[in-house]
Amino acid sequence: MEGSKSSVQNSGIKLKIYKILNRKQMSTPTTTTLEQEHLAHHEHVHDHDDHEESFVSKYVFSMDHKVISRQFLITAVVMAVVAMVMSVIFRLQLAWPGEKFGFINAMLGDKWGKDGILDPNMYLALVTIHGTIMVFFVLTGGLSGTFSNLLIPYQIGARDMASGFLNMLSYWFFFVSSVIMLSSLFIEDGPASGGWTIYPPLSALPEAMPGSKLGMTLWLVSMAIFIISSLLGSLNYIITVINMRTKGMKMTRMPLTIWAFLITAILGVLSFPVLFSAALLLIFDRSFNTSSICLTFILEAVRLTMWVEVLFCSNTCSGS
Amino acid sequence: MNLLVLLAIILLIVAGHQLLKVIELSRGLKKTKEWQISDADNNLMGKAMLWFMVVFFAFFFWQVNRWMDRSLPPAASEHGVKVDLLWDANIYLITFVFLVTNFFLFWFAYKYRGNSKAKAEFIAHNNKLELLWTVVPAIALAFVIIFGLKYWNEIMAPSNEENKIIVELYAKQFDWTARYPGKDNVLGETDYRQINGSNPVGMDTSDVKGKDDILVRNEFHIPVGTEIELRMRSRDVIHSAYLPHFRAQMNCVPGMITYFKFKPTKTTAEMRKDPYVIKMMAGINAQRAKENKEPVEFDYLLLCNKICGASHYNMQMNVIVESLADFKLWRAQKAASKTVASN
Ligand code: HEM
Ligand SMILES: [Cu+2]
Repeated sequence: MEGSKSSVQNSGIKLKIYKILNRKQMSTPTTTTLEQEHLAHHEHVHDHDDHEESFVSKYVFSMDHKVISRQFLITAVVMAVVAMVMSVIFRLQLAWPGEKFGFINAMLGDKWGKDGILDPNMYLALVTIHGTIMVFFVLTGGLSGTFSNLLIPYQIGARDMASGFLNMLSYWFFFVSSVIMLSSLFIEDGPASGGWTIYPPLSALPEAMPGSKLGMTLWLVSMAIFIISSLLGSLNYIITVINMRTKGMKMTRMPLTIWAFLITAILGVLSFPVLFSAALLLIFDRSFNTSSICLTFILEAVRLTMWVEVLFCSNTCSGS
Repeated sequence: MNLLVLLAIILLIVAGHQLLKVIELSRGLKKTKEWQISDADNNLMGKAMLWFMVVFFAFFFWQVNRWMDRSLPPAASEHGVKVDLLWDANIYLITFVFLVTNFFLFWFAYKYRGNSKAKAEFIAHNNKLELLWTVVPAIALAFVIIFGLKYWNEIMAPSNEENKIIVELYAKQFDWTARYPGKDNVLGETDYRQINGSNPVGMDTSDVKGKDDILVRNEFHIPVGTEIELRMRSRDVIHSAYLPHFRAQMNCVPGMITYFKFKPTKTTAEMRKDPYVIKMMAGINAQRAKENKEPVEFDYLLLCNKICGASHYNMQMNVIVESLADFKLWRAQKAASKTVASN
């Protein structure tokens, strides 16, 4: 009983996705009458939905490449403005060291901008988050997400991306990772501050600097989610370019822009999984006590001191 | 004060919004659509593009001229001359490409500005053009890569000089320690487990070769005209030994030893008499005078060039380059004071 019930549900969901993917096809003359009949039949069964798109499905959880492209654009522009304000703050500090800026105090408060002088740890944090946002959220996510999404279907004559659903997921993973990255600006120890390259062991050892505490964990989680988004997007672009070109649009006839998007996507698929595993290993090292990236000699030293503490302190500081 | 700035920004945004509204309304009166742009407007925009280019290029050249004396003095090492050559070639190439492409960008925006009488021309393909913009950048990039690789291989080749001076740079959060081998000219072995307050660089106390090693902080000396082999170690996180005046940089990675070799060509005293350096220091000291700070003299520096924590910006050491005789004297003094200290 159970099995059949879930399979009914399943086919319902499949049907919905199928219909959404093919919605535009119906109005175009290229669909065969058979297909139209087929679709019309389903349409009849579920008469009540999908005729008028709701606000949510049209602008929020949209599967339309044009809307998703705009979502990427707006998110990336917001991120870029945040990162640019950061660069203004740290460049003010760099250009006039020791000078007091009311602006810095107003932006960062007394903890990070006491008397209007930027705290050295916060300087590094701002540079790090500036670099991270500009490289990943603006250049990688923003540019590729906006222009690949907008132009690939237009310039190769496809109706939409190969999978509108994955495309939607790609944007929302991007959004979630942006929110996590920005949230790390508001925690007590401050955001990640080891430079945007996050070299271990500086990033692997929470005691190495304040920015290697919770801020680094948030950075890594955000980046892992960002990479998922980027991979979903890139796979979609590649499949769309390879599979969904209109009649006569041979690979050799593709515009240079499409070639650029294709190569960008392939490079992304090749390099981001490596970054993903690195981020994951770091998360494991930091949060679950593995030792894959942490240099073993450092861990040994840490363990050694812990052992000493356990052996000699346990009776004196018992109970704590 | 901050409130006032915020208020001004908000007012600016409101004013901008109102202005847009006025334009929209006046368009309604004129009965033209948003996308109907007159030839007069197109002409104005086209010319504005050209004017923007002129101002942009003028600003660029002014900037280059204004900050030219803030760049590093000429290289003070043998291989540094090659690095500078590569740097200059790249900068001239980039500047040339920057000027040409930006000229075309604005020129075409002007030349092909909207015109209600012009008819669009359809060009499907142009082999000559495509060949041109593929082959020329390919040659330029090949030039950059081949020369870069050639110099890199030459600079990083293992040292085979007999009388090279070995200096170990030991990095930790947030300072440097330089270690010289003693009379035996061999650095003693190290062992991280022996690091403690009286053995900060983790010398292996069971290794006799290390007994005569000399440790110095804050400032280290090297002789001119002799090959220096730097060996770099780190105690905690990745640091980077950066000697900008010698065009030398190498990461210090915990758990391994990295190398860099170079031959200084000018002593500190000679460098202080270099016309470029005199001009550069005059600029710096003029600024310091404004801030009521004492004037400073030129010194070679070792800087940390990899973010390593809060005081990374201040992780540095002075380097003194002197004649070989002076250097030997200094080293003997250090060795003597070491024996005195340990007795
Ligand atoms: C496409 C846009 C940009 C990208 C990809 C980008 C990328 C970066 C990266 C990767 C760093 C190094 C961060 C680190 O070491 O962790 C950096 C530093 C810097 N950025 Fe940007 N950035 C962009 C735009 C801007 C803008 C618009 C400004 C100024 C308004 C700016 C000002 C700076 C400054 C001043 C630094 C150096 C800070 C220092 O070393 O002390 N950047 N940027
Ligand atoms: Cu350092």
